[in-house]
Amino acid sequence: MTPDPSNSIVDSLLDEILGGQQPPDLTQRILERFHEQQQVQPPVSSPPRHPARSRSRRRSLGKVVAIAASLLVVATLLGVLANRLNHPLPISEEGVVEQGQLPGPSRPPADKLAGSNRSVERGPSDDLMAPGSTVVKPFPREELSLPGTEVEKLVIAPRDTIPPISHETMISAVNQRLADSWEQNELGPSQKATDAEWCRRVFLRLIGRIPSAEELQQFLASSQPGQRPRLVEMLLNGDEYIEEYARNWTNLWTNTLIGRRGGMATDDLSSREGLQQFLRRSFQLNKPYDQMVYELVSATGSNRPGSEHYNGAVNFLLASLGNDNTTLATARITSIFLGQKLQCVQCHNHPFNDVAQNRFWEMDAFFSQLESVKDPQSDVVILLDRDFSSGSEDQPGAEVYYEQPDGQRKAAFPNFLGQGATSRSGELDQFNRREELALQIRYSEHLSRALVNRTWGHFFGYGFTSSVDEMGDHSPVSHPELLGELATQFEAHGYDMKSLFRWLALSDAFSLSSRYSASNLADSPETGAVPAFSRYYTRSMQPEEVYQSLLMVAGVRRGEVPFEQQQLAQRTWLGQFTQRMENDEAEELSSFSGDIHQSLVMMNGPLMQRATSPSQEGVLATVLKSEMPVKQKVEHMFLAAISRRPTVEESRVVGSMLEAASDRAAMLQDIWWALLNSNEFILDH
Amino acid sequence: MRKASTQESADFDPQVLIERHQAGIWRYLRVLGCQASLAEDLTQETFLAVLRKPFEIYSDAATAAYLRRVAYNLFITQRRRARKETLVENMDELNITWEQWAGQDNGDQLMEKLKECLELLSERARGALEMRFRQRLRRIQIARSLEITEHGAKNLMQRAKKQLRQCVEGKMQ
Repeated sequence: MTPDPSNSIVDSLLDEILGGQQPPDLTQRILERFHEQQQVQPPVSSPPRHPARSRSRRRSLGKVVAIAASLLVVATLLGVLANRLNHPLPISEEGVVEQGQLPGPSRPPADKLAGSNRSVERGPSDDLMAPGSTVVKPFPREELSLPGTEVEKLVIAPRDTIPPISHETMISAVNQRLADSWEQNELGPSQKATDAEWCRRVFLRLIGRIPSAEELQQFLASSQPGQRPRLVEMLLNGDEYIEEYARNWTNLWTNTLIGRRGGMATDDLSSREGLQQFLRRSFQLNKPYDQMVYELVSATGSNRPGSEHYNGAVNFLLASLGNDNTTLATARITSIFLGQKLQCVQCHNHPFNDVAQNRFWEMDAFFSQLESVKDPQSDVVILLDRDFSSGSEDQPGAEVYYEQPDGQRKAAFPNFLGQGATSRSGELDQFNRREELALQIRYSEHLSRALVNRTWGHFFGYGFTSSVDEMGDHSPVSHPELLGELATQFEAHGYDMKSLFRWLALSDAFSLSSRYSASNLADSPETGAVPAFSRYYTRSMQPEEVYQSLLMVAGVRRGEVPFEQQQLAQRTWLGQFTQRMENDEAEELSSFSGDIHQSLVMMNGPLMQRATSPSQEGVLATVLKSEMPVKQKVEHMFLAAISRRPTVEESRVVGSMLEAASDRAAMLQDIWWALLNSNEFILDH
Repeated sequence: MRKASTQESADFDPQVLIERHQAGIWRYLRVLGCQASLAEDLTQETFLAVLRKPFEIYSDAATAAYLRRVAYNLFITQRRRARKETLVENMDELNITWEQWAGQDNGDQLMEKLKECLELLSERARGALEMRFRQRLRRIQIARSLEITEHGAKNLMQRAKKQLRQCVEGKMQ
């Protein structure tokens, strides 16, 4: 093989042009062989017509019969396959699918399981989504058998689940577990956070921005009991917040699945816009988490909104395909959905536990049927599955190969986290590997545990393990009983994410002050200690949260701008801070960590200019135009920027500055600018 | 890009599929390094393997890509049986280059461009390539014919192919 591929191409074409090696017309020869194979005859009595040329191996009678039979019904099968993406096929009463069929949904909607939850059936506002043209596989909800031969038929059963308990009982259980752990560790929790502090953090966690001054004042003014649960319900299910809720979780999950830069380059196979449409729709409809994951893992269809067979979910895997390999997809799926970080065993056995190299490649083998096809004219990419053959007809299965550190090549077949071998067939009508993987994930206990751990990390700044992507044996869980209970009830509540959010937002731990008390000085995970959650850990807002908060105080009305344009503007702004690292894990480097670049953008960027411009619609313009006394104007700006009123000292300093100012409006503008550029503005505390 | 409907599937004609794509697959296999006879056999095996299963048609380009993938797998299998090493990295690059140059039309356009580029070579360079590819002369024989050293003949042909490559790249953009 010559080092430069174009040399091989030029050589072979010169051989054709100058040497007369023209492509032969093989049509008749192939058709004759094709028709021979269609006849049901034992190969011993039907030798190849071109024995000197043909290298086709003789097949067993059974295989020839199978091939012939399949060819006789080829038109029917083509019809089935052609319709499979668009038309869900029915499930039998026993919940067992016939060959080539998948069961339809049979579990009640999440809103019924989750008590007070309700699914929002409203479609996207603008939009883009064309449900009739999307390709979404039906989601299996019952015990089922995968299509396959009798020998290879595999039965996957859902694990037993316990009945759901009420939200109040669950929140009490969370509180009790944490109280017990504090007592065991001789820690005392911090004081309760103020209502304003709690309000700010619950807005940030649930809808990804700080509350406006009006929203905060309305919350603070409510003296009725139960105001906190009411605010949580409003943010989760209120009509006025559902778009922001979906936008926030779409942003979070897009970043989790493909990073901040995934699907944005012109040569990317994936469409970030397509994935975001899928996620946004999922969160608008409050799709159960296991269903969302199933759809992401088993997705087939095209990537671009508006294209035929469009299915935005395919963009997760498309963004995770490497140069003719699926290792990134394997790494992402195992870490994101299962909390098992396997990429380091891609090349060698794990140094700290007994996970061997084959574990990674057995998971990777589930993707061996996956294929992406790009239409060079439209640039639309289709993700689909094809029959896979390792090429070895001596072996009954279809294996993938990997290289061990000693240079030896080994074969691997699909095996979910080492739990047991599955069918080795690479033929789709025998065994759809990716669909099998999606089902194994859906019924894995790791799915709920990983999601609970990730979500806990989102709400409290730290998960139950040192990294939320790593829950292996060598990564001890700080609160195993609490994690187990949350995961069990999350499953019992039909994988309803809003239930989980509600439990965490209304827990005692979430309502604690971020200030240390004398009794919890040891609770300091910033220094490497195991988090005890006896106080709320202060952290910087995520760039998306800063951006959305700036938009809010700048008075940008989201309803007037289509979602895609909002996302484009946000991506442009975030692009200033994020750089993609070209490593195997497609990691990203963020400079949104208090460095000079961030400071300059925050101080002088166009968005900041707009937010601090008196001529734009926003907090400052409202304050300047209002008839409020100047003290109240200052208070309003403090509430809008940092969700609290000024302290006595701050009031005195600001008051003296305003008195000395010749242009009071300009001074108010400066104070507003200083508030937005303060550390407190970008802190979640 | 589309998927075949049931009716279209029923009308699916293997002969049309073979006629439309066989030259591209044969050329692709030649590019991979197959001798003409082996390329012929593997082209036949490729179509037979594909025709054994129901076939979804999205577009000509997608079909060609699928056929190339099958041909590639058969080629790798053949090399494995022959116990020959294959450098996967080079194969990946080769696949990408072939996809860019000839992925849409079986390489017909590429052939035409290459013919045009051949005409632009110097008489001496074109003569060396003619001797190598048309007359199947060895490098030493070419050197003698052009009254240069064997090393000089090697350089002359390498430069000529490099010029052809650059010329084709320019025309394909």
